[in-house]
Amino acid sequence: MDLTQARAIFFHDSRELCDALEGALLDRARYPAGKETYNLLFRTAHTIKGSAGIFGLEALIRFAHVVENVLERLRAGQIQLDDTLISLLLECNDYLRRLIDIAEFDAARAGDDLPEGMPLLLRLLQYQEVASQATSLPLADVCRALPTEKYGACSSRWQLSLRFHTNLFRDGFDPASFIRYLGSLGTLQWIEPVWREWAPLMSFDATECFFGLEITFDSAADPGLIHDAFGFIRADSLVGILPPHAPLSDYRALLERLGEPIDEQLARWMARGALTSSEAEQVRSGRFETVAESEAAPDPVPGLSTAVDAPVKVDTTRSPIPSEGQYIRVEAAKLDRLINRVGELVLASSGTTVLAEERGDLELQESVAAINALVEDIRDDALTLRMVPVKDIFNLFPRMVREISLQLNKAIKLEIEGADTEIDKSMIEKLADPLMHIVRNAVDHGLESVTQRLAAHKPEIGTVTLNAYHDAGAVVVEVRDDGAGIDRDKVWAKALERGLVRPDSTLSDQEIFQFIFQPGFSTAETVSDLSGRGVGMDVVKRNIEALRGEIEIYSKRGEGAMFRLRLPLTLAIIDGFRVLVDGSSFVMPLEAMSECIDLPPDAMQQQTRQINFRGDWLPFISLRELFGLSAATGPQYIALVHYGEARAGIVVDRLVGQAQVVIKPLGQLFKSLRGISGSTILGNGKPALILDIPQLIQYACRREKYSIRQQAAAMNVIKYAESVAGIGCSDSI
Amino acid sequence: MALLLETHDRVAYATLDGELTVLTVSDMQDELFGLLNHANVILDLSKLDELDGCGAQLLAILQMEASRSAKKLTLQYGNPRAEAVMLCLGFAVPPASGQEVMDGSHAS
Repeated sequence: MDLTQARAIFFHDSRELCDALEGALLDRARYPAGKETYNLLFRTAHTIKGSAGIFGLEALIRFAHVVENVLERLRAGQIQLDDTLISLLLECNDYLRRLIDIAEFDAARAGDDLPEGMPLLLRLLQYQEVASQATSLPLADVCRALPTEKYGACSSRWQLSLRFHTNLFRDGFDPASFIRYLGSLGTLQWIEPVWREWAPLMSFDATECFFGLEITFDSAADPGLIHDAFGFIRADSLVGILPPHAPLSDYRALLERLGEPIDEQLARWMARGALTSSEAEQVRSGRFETVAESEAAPDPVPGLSTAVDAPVKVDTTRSPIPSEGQYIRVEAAKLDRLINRVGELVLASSGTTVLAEERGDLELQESVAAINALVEDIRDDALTLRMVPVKDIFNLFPRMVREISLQLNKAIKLEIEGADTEIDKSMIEKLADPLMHIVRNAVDHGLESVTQRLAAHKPEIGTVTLNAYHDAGAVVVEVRDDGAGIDRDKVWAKALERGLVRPDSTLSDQEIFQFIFQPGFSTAETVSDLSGRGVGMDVVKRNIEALRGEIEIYSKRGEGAMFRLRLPLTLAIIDGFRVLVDGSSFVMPLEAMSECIDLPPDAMQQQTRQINFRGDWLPFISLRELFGLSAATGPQYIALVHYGEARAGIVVDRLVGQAQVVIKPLGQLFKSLRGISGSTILGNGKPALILDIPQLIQYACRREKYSIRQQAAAMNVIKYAESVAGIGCSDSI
Repeated sequence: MALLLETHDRVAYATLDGELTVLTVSDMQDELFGLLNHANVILDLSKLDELDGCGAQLLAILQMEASRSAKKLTLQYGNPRAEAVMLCLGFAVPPASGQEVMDGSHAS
């Protein structure tokens, strides 16, 4: 087998194994703690290691080996799978994924360990057999055992050496304020002044600076921020900053810059754990262990792995590559090109259909019909190429919810339904962020604390449900929670306070909830790390609207809330219905239409654009009115359209029939057009505009409401006039 | 800015009042070093309104000079702000854990 292809399959499979590992760690219901689950975990890590061995991916093998050892102990019942271990294994899993990515895309670095692997290794070592032995392996030895120069120093903290200029104070700087700022970026673990000799007290000048600082600092902040903290004093003072796991050669370079007695500075580093004694020795000598030397060691952690290695020899005879479910990676641009071509093919074949009908040749028509059927199949197939199951993003959530639940100390269960529902790939990428925001909000604000839930007679564990399904040519994604729900009154009050609404307005719950999409709108009393700052929901809405989708909110106080995202199935080709208005063609998406009826002759005469359709009053709009054309002379029709829960009618001159259309975006010039979402070329080669049904429905509903209000106001005026007249009459009596 | 000095039972009780910053250290250094004339001094910082890195350096040097000359000089804080400055520059030792753990929150 071609090795390149085998490698590609290995990477694909390894990623799947990582996903499976994560799934098994997170889904405690499907994978209850027990031998079977532990076996599965172990086998997964073992397979990754074994397969990586075939391709000589050293870093991956080394790390998977340590993970495997811990899982082996879990399998043997020597350690327990608790929350801490689950978190650690999840992090390890992420790290494995990183290693896999690097091995695949950056072959030159495939053998290198990454700095972030080191802390994980150290944490994993706590679960290895040494931890249970009477003489535990000291950390320093572990560090020595690992190839030092490749990792850099053992310490996972920042090491800062500051030597202030004598004029520091006179120049107006206060080191205390630097340290305070540094404290805001992380935790200061160790601060030690380093003194210079000061003048005898007789000639002592207290405004001169006589000290420097040695600082050990724990921080996940942006390295740039930490460097910038000392930007002002860098010109005169000596600022030495060593990031976590800095190479030992950097320690040596700093030592030389400091120009102080080497042993004193090495002792300072050792005292606070920045360097181990062996590392200090290497820094002192300036001779660092080379990669080759460190790899000459038989095993990264001697004595740990030999015992467990025996029963689980890597099974190289078994192919790690499954025979089914093979994939070919295709460049996305190629797919787009194909879909474009198929679009053109659809257009061309509808043109041929028109021609064949005009010729009246039955055989030709039959043949064209057969070709058309095939073309439609090709179109469907082409579109499914871009479709991916929504589980690609749903799978991000179990991990996220778990982490948030730990952070907030809330018991949360995440249920996922309809994960196989397919959605266009270009949309799924843009859907992840908004969805994440909504879920985070649901968990943080929606779900109550355990005590609040118990007080409300709800199950202790809160549930967040993600659901996806296809509905009327749209993909619907729902995020449901059984929390406290959105406080309608609070939203209303906030909207009033911000002047978004008049006190006498009557709005539906749905409309009131839409206020939370206003920029900076938050009813949260406390702002947490996760949400509540009122930033974001407006962005969520904008992102969804950019995908031609919409968000509906349903909420019942005390019972929970549901965000329903409705998105178009695809962005490329639609089944349309062609209509004519004043001789021009328009296309409406077929799935948005329910039926067509004759326009009642007197409907256009009434001020309120409403028709009574099977007992319901529906708003309608006339495209002639919308586009400023003269009133129709002949009979007209109403196409009834719907989007989500909303329905309306659209008045047109003629109904032509069904047609497949390829959506072409409108040029910049037409972007501002209301009621039009795109254009297309018809089978006869003429252009047509595609109607933006959601927007038209919204417009119709708004106008309906407005005219009802106007009428109500007019009625009030009449009533008032009558009552005034009545009073006038009685006065005159 | 003033240094008040009282002596009881051969212990000198000094109280720093006002601010000890880069603006006042020059005026204060002689008085403060004068404390080294006493064998046992307790320097009360509770009335110190402001202390900066420069003032903190002077106090630290004062303490080191005292110990060099085998005198006893104890800083009595009773003043969280002053103590925070001394802590964040490593001049003071947090009571519990030696020199380790200088939490940023102390300093703010």
